[in-house]
Amino acid sequence: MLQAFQEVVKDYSTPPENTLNRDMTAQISSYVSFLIECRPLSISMGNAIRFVKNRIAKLPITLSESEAKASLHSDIERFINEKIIGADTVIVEHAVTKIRDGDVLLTYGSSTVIEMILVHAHELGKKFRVFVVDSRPKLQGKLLLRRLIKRGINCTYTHITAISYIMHQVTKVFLGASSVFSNGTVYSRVGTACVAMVANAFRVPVLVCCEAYKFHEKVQLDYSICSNELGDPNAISKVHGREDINYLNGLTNNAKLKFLNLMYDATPSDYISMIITDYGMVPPTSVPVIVREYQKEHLLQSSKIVI
Amino acid sequence: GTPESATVPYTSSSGADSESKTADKSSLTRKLKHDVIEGVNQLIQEIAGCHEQIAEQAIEHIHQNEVILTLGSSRTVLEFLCAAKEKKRSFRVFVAEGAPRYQGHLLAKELVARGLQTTVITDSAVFAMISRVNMVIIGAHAVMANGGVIGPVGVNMAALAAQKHAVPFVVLAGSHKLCPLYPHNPEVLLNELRSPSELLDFGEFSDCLDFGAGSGSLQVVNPTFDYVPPNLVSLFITDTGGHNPSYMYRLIADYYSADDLVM
Repeated sequence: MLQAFQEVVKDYSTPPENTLNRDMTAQISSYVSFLIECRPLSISMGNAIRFVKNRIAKLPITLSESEAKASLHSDIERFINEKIIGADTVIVEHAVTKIRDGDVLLTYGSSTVIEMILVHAHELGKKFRVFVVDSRPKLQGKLLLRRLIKRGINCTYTHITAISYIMHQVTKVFLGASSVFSNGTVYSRVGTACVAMVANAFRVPVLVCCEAYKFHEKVQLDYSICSNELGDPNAISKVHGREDINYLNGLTNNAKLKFLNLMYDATPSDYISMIITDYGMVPPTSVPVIVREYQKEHLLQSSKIVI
Repeated sequence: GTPESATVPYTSSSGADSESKTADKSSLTRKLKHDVIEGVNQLIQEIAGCHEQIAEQAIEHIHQNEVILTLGSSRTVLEFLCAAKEKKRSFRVFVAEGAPRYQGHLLAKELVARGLQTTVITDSAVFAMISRVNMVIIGAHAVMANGGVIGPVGVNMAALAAQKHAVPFVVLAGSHKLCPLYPHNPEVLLNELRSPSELLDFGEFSDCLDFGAGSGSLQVVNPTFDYVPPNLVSLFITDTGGHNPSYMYRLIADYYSADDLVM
C-alpha cells in the first residue's frame, strides 16, 4: 500500500488554487476510502496512513512542489525500510536468541516474521522441530509448512482442534500479530487466542513477534465482535478438496442456518509471556510505553529516529 | 472315567455319573446363556432409552433466549436440544464445525431440519465466541473413573475457554459410557490417530519432500479424541439425573462389578 502511495506522490501535481498539503491530504483520503470499500483496513495500514498524512501536514510551505514530493517519497521509503523491513531484522535477531537446541516450537497460521525467525535459526545451526498448526477456512499453515520443509526444517502439521493433544510436547509457542493494543491484548488471526490459552494451560511460554508500527493506542475488551472482519460464509460451508464432506450443500439459503466466518480475534494479555518488537523484548504491560514513545517520534521535526 | 470338565470350575463332584453330569452341564450352560442374553438385552434397552431420559432434563437447564455452543455430532445432544425446543424454549445454537471430520456440519444439518436457529463457526473461533455463549453442551464418548471426559477432538479447548469466562460446561452421557479406568496419560493412551489424508492429501507435499536435497521431514498428527479433566466440567447429565464430576465414581461402582474396578 505504501508503495502505491509513493506512486501517487510521484504522479501528483498541485492544482493551481490549492496548497499541496491540503489537496494531497484530500486525495490520499479519497484513495483510502476506495481501499476500505475493497476490504476493511488493518490496524497497521491505519497507522501507516496516519504517518503519511502527518508527514504531508508537516511539509513547510516554502518548499517547491518537486522538493516536497521528493521529501515525501523519501519519508515513505524510510518508513518502509526502517519500520517494516528493518524492524523484521531486529525482531529476528532478538527472537533467535530464545531458540535453543532441542526445542519444540509451535506456530499458528502463516506469519512472515515467524518464518524469517525459524529460517534464520535453522541457518545458525540450531536443532529444533516445529509444529505448524492450521485452521479452516484459509488453511494458511500449509503455505508456511511448504516453505519450512523446503528449507530443511522438520515439521509436524496439525489442525487447531488437536492442540491439546500436542501441547505437552511443546517447549515454546511463537505467534505473529496483526496489531497489539494498549492494554497488551494481541489482535491476530482467529484461533490465536485458542492457541495461547491452551499453551497457558500447559504452562508453555507464548512469545508474540510484532513490529512496532502495528501497535495501536486503542483498548479492546471484547474478543470477537467489536471491530472484527467477516469473511465469506461460503468458505465454511464448502470444504475444498474433500468431496465427501458436503452435508451442508443446498442449505446455504435456509433462514435457520447461518455461517460466521471471523477473520480476527483478540488474545488477552495474561496469556502472553513476552512481546518481541524492534524496540526490544518487552512484557505485554510495556506496550503503552512503546506506543507513547512511537508517537513522540512522529511529532519530531527531524527525520532521525532516536531509540 | 469321565474327564473333569475344565470349563465348569464350580462343579466339584468328581465321581458323578457321566450322563447326569452332561445333563447338569447343558442346563448350566443354558442358564448361563440365558443370563448373558438377558443382560445384553438390558444393555441394548438402556442404550436405546438413555437419549429420552437425558432429554427429559433439558427443560431444567435450557432457558429462554439462551445461546448454546456445541462441538462434534452427538445424538444425545441433538435429542436434548430438540426436547427443549418442543417445550417452546427459543434459543440459538452455535456449532463448531469440528474439522477434519466436520461432524459439526452433520449436527447443524440435523438441527436445522428440526427447526432450530443454528450458526456454524470454525473451531478457531471458539474462544472468540465463548463470551457470547450461555452454556457449552457436549456429548461424551466416554466418562472416566475420575470424572474426566473423553470427547471429540477440540473439546478441551472449549472447556478451557468456558472456564476462563465462567460459562457452564455440561456433558451429556448415558450410563453405558462410564468407564472404570483411571486416565493416567489420557492424551496418548486413550486416543486414536486417524489418517493424515484428512488434513493433507496424499501426494500434496510430495514435490517438496526431497530428502536428498536437504528438505525437512513432515509428520501429520490427526487425533480423534480429546481429554477434559474433571475440574473443567460443571455438570454431568446422565439418564439417572444430574451429577458432579466428583460423584461419577459412585455410579461406576453401581454399574460395574467390584472385580472389574481398579480404584
